Amino acid sequence: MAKPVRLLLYRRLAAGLGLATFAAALIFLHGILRVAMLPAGLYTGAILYALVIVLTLFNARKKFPFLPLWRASTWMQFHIYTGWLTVLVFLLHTNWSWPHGTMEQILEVLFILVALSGVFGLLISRWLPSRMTRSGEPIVYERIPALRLQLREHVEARVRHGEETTASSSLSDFYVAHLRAYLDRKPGWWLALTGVDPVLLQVHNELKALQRYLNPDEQAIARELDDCLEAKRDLDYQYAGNRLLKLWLFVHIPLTYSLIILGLVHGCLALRYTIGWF
Amino acid sequence: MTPGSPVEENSGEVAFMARPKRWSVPYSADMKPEMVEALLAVPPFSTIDARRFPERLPLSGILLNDCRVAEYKADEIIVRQGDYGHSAFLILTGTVRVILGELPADVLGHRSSRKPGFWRHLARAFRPSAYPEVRRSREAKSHDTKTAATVAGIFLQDVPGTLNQYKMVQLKAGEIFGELAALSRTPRSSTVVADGPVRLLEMRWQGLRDVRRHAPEWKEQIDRLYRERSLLSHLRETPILRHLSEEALTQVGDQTRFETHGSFDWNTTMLGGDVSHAERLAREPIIHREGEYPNGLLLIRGGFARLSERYNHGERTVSYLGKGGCFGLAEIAHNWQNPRAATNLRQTLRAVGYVDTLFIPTAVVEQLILPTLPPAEFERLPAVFLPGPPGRDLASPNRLDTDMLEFLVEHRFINGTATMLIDMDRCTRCDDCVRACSANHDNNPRFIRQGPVWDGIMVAQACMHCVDPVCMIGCPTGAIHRDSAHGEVVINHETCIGCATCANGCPYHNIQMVAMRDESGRHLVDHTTQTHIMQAKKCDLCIDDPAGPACVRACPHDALTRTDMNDTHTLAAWLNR
Repeated sequence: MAKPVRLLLYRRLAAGLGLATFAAALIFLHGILRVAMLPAGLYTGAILYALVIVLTLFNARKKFPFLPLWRASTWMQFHIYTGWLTVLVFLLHTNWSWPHGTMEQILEVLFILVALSGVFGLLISRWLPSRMTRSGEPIVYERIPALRLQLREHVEARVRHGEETTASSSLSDFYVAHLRAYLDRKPGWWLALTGVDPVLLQVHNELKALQRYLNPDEQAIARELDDCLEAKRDLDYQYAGNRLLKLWLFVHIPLTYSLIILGLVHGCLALRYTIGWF
Repeated sequence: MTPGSPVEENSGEVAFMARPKRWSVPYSADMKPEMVEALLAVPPFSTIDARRFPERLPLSGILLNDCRVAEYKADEIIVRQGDYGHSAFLILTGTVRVILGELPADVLGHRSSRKPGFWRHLARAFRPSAYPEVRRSREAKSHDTKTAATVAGIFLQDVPGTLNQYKMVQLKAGEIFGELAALSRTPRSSTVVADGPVRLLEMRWQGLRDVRRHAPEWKEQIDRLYRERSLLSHLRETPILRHLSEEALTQVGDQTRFETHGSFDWNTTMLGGDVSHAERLAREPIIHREGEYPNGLLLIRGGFARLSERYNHGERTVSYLGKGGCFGLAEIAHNWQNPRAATNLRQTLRAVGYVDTLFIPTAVVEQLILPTLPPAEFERLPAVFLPGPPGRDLASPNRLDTDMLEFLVEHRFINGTATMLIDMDRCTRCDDCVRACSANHDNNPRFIRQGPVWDGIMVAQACMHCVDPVCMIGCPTGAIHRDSAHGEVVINHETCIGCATCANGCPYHNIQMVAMRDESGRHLVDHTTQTHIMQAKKCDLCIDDPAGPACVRACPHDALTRTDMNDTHTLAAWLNR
């Protein structure tokens, strides 16, 4: 018997409701601590640090895929909603203010960067895949360089064929001047966000301009080259999208580990100077 | 060094071994040449002309390597209904009882399968395999080899109760059973219990196949049994016939016609380049056409059929039917209730690949089947058996979009029971699924995150564990088989000889041939031919993993699922979630 499929909308509603409940409870608790003249900063700091550790466990779980520890999607949902909760605890902990100490300032910047990179990661992982799916065939990232090379070889073969059959060097000159560099070029990750490649537009325009001076045989090959430019555009978009979907983690994860280490030092110092531990 | 490249004898990069052969691992270590001699001297083997068998595949070799003699005590279960079996049985001495009807799991002594626990999984994390696809030396001794000591008996519980409650058929010495599951790659249709001490010759399916091929008298007998038993077995399993008495069921059986439509070699012809929708439909044999009078009820026994209806100048697919599917009942029921407002068939039924059907004439349905249906069930019939055209109500989680249906049917993905679907609108290409698969399988992922995409849904190149696993046809050693408990199609790596028959036979290209290594990472090479030792590798649905397929568990975005394409309700719910 297959497991029943839950609508994603219901899941979002349930998780959102849970998050709102926890957030309300935390704000209420924080208010009580302040009214009772208790060291609210210590309590919120401890909760904040614990939440950051729990959030980091998601990455650790990925290293042990065969362990029967919840599904990664459950961890992911937990990571997202607990992440929002952590932002709230951070704001309560800092009293919505910019700190005075250098270490605290570094910590705050680190936290903001981790949170922002996380939000950015969430947004692109929800927005980019569907755009990539509709921009050409999904390709395994590791295969893209080989396909790029294949495309270049195909274009070279067509250009050479054109030169031999038409006894004209128009297309091969164009290839050397504009096309080869474009076909070899690796796009930047920002292409995935903008979707516009100025270099492609330039090459495309050059080819269009060149077509005025081509005979019918050359024009047929030029049309084929135009199709190859389209294929390269799709390939570039897949490449840029894949890179961006991986690269943001190279910001998010190292910053998280820095935050954990610096947070630990900050916690020890706070305990030392508030209640005399250590 | 790549597989297929020449190998230098003293290169040190490789390890030499003898290439595994069909009978490298016999079915039973207990089978001795003198037992084979004794079997050949008595019927039915004494009546077989052994000269008809090729030299490389002698009858005595089949008996020695593909058979075992098994002894069972009274009330001991020989085969259990629902288990997947790969062997047939010939009764040598004694009698057995075939229980007709479905026994409860506790009576059958079903035990939950024992899978490695948490600690073993944790240990694996700290002892990962250093090289991909290692053939370990301990694998030389097969755990698939059956000996009297390794086969534990399971006894029927509550024998008197079972005897009173269920109808039974007794089989005597010389009779065969179990051939249905062995030949059709389907679960056992009945439970068979020893009726006192019994001695059986158990023959694995590839041996049975070869005896059938070279001994016409056996072929005739087995085919006759197959037809008789599969007919009754299928009729018994058909929901609308469950209210019939055994006598009425036999009457229905007498009137039922076996039919086969399409071609059995569909797997070799399905990938024939770009074919238009109209051409594809034209190639699929029509079983019943829309607008014809419903002259009988059609039950699908095997294979798949496409249901379509006229739409403008073409035809659109509205559903597909697999084993257990039923066509024409709603119209027959309507005409029976409203003889003055008779209707014709509303849809066309076509064979996708091949279809085995049972045809029950309308008169028999009207006389024997419809009067036995309870009113509530009768009212539900049209909704159950004639799904309305999908696409009319796309918002419903129970409907499959028409275009998606066309895509699934055209690529024959409907054959899958655990098809890997990836929602590319949610997939972030993180490859966590691939890494998890690799971690579970000797550092070599058993699928490729690639495949045809329709409407943002990718059908990835992973074994679909087909309803009809054509990859199993032709495996010389039976290494590719169904797991007896749940029916997953798995490869026994100890008996796989690397012949690539399964990989070539899989129409979806979901089986890969992989060069094997020894534990120190050296490629294994056949010392005679100097070529690499290869083995077939494919997704095994993480059969040893207590938590199920690692790929599904590892996907952080809920983008990946393994789904039974015959469960269109769950499939549609997932697609429309």
